[in-house]
This record gives sequence, C-alpha cells and structure tokens, in this order.
Amino acid sequence: MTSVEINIREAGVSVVTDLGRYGFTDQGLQVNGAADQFSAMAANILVGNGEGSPVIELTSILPFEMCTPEPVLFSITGSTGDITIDGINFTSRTPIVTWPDACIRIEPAQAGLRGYIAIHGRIEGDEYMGSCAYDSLINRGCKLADDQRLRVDGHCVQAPPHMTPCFPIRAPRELYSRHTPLGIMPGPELHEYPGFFDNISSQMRTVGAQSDHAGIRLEGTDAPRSRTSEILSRGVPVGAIEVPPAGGMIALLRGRPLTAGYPVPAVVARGWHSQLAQIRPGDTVSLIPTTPAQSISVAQRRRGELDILRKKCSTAFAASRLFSPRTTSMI
Amino acid sequence: MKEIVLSDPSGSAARTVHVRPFGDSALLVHPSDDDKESRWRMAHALAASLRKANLVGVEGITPTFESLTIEYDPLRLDVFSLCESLTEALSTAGNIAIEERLVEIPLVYGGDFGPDLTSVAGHLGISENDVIEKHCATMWRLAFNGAPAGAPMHEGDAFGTPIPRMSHPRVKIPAGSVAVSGHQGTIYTIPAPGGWRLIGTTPLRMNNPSGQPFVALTPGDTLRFVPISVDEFHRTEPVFIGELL
Repeated sequence: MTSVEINIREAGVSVVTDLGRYGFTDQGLQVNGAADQFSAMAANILVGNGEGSPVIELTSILPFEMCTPEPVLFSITGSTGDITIDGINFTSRTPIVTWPDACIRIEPAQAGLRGYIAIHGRIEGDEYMGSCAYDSLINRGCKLADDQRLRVDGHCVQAPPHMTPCFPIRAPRELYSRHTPLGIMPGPELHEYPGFFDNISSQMRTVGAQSDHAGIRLEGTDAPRSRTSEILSRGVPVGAIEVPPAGGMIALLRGRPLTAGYPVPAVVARGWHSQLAQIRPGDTVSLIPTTPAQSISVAQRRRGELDILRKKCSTAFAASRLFSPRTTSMI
Repeated sequence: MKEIVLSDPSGSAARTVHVRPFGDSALLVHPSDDDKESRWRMAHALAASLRKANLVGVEGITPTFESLTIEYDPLRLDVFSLCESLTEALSTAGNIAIEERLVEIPLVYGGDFGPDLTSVAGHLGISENDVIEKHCATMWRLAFNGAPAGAPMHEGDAFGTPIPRMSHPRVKIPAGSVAVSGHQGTIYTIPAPGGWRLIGTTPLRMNNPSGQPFVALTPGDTLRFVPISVDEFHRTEPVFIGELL
C-alpha cells in the first residue's frame, strides 16, 4: 500500500478523530468522535473516503499549517479562516489536489470553533476498541504537535487530467456567527423547573470559558428547581442541558461524561447538534423550543445534502480518473 | 410522545417499564418494580437483551442504578420501532443470568487518603472506626461502570442513611479515591472533579486504557473493601484489577 507522511508544521489545538467509539457504554466509555459530525462526514465525502474515516479536527481560533511532500487530495470543512496553498488562496468545502511540497495554511476563523481536514486515504490514528476517536479522559487518540509527521495510507492520487487542482463541487455552505439559536426539547426534569420554557427564546445566554469537547457552559440567570432531591446517576445523551450544583447550565457534547446525576430540564435537539459543536467561549446562544418532527426534518435535510454531495463527488472522481479503482476500493 | 408504559406482552409477570423521551434521540427507561434490586436487575437485563438484538440505529445502551438510557439515530430507527423492540425485550429479559463474583478492594482509609472520613463520621454521629467497620462489612453490588472513564459505581446499605454530597464539589479528585454518596459508592479511575465524599484510596487501577477489556468488573460483582496500612499501600503494585481476577 502506498503511503505519504504529512508534515504538521503548526498544529494549534488539533487531533485525529473519527465519528466515535461506539458500543462500549457498558464499560463506561463515552463515544467522543468529531464534535461536528456533519462537517467531518462532508470532509470525507469530498475526498472519496468512507464517512467515518479518520479526519483532523482543528480548533479554528488558532492557525494550522501542514505540508504534503507528494500530491494528496484533501478538503477542509467546518469553521475556517482564509486557506492558502503556498500563498495562493483556495476555498473550503471542495476537493483540492496539492502539488509536491505544497504548504497548506488555514488562518483562524472569525466565528465557529472547529474545522475538519480529510485526506484521501486513511490518516493514521491511535486505534482503540475499533476507533481512533480522541478521548482525553483515558488519554487515547492522537493529539497533534508542531513538526509532527502524520502518515496517510493509500493516498495515491494523480494530478487531475484537467490540470487544475480543484473540482467544481462544493459542500453546502455553513454560516457561523457569534450568536447561535439552538432548538431544544423538554428534558426529563422539565417539570421541576416551573416556567422554564416561558419566554426562553428571548433570553440570551453567554457561553463561558469553561467549555470544551465535553460540553459548553451557558451562563445567565439560574433556573430555580422546585425540588432538592438528588438524582441517581444515569446515562445522559449528547445535547442534554444539565444544571450542575455550581449554577449555570452545561449543554453536553460527545466527550461528555457518560453518566451523571444532575437534573436535565431541556435537551438540544439533534437537528442542531452540529451547530452546538461550533459555539465558542464568549458567543451567545438562545434556546428555541422545537419539536421532534422539526428536528428530524432538519437532520433529514442535512443527510440528503450529504447523499447528493457523495453522488457528485463519485461522478467527478470517476470522470477525472484521479485515483485508480484499486485505491478507492481499499478505503 | 410524553411518558408511555410498556408491559410484557406475555403478561406472565407484572413487568412494566416507564419510558420517557430524553430529547429526540434517546429514551429514558425506568422499570416499575417495587424494590430497587429488581429495578437494577431489570434495567441491566433489558440492556443485555437489546444489545443482543443489535438494532440498526442504536447508538448507546447505558443501564445504571435503576434506569436505562437508550440513544438512537432517529433517521435510522424510529421511536415506535424502538419501543416495539423494548416490549419484546421485556418478555425475554429476566432470563439473563448475571455472573456474580466477590472482588476484594484493598484501601487505606482516612487522613490524606480519605479526607472526608471525618465529615462522614460526623454526619452519621459515629466514630471514624465505626464508619470503616461498616464500609468493610458491607457487600457492595457493582451496579455499572460509569463516568468518568469506567468508574465502578456500586451500591450498598452500609450506613442506614444516605450520605449527602459535598456542598462545594472538588475540582480534582485523585485516581484510586474511594467515594460515597447517598447509598452509593464509586472508585475514581482518573483524576476528575466530583462532589462525593472521599473516605479512602486503593492502590489498584480500575481501568485499563492500554489494553482490552477497558474494565474488568462487571455489573453484579460483589465488592468487599479491605483496609490496608500506608506501608502496604506503598508496597502494592498499582496494577489493573483485571490482572488479579
């Protein structure tokens, strides 16, 4: 199998991850994986990979730079600033073929928090229990450092016959802003928070500095609970909005502790999970009551966008003879 | 869907569960048995049954003390089909045997190893030695491996009355800390924040991130705590408990 070593020149805060480590909740392992699943899947589709292939997840508050000694097919999705290759401007959300010794630089973004880089082939990660998802609690996964070499297997691509490094394909545009409305639904303890949903959509909440891949802290007026009884630890899903004893609220991401005994008055609906992952400290959010039907229709529309994108890409890649069928079937 | 009650279709026993949506991608399932032992057993039997069914779209099955959280992808599995599978699981659950083992956990009580032993004794109005004696004399049932990072959450009625949580949670609790709260206990697998009361520290490691399986204890195991001296603590190799079983 062919392989190439990418040189990570400036890592910022970035990790190699995939869509998550599923199937081990009985051992207390949380799923983790790309916080913004939509962007990670889109990035992989744009380079002809399986949707769950390893990607680089970067924090778009800091710049990121990597060099490719040989041509590779790569894409960048999610939150990014200006993208240049050897100083030439490129756009995000599209397949790009680099040239030998190309240096790709991604400047910090104005809004949004996480960018994703996919490279055709398989990015080497720290595989554990069937996944390379980064898990900071158990210190598994690959956190990138400056000047690190990162291997990509089966990368073999040739310069496209049309001799331009780009394809006329773009994934749907994501608009990131410093204010994010999030669709929410009732949580199991909503009844213990009388009036929680009243006027909730007009309240702005600031995102605290103590936010990470486990969850984002929502500051603002504390919701008073009508009971003081303690809740026995139970499994909490992604999106659950917990009220910890210290006050405020925490909206949980994929790196959340799997079980907890805090009351949950509301849950961020699935249709908004990708946006939830793009909220940075200092941003504001508003919580907008929604319904399962609305949420699922949002999730369905996004899924449809990915399916269309995959069709476009496979047509374009087949026509360009960018990679031989042998390499594509191996991924 | 608000709350629904599902019953065993065979109706042989009064097996029912209360099911509530936990957002649009998860269900929170509470068995309605009278005693908590049966509720725990039912939550775990249902979880085992659902795991065996291997349903497409299920993203996580997490049984804990007396409830079960099922996460799913609503684009691949609709909530009604999931409830049907849950009803089927009700008729097969309960026939699942849970292997029970006795596992001894050595620990040093009190002092720097258990800074809250004093406050637990104070809350109960007994001496620190009495707390140790009651904690050691109790057969704790491992309820589940939970957060953070596979912590063995166990349950037992050692003190007759629930132990309250700390009013100000600690920011960082060292790995190996043995903690109590309510009628429950846990052992920290990694340094983590928490509001439970720390009464001792074990030299053993409870998880194994460098190998498989990740944890060695399984729900239903009985934990017995054995006091050791500070000298013995330092002489004990900090091995993964799985290597001793």
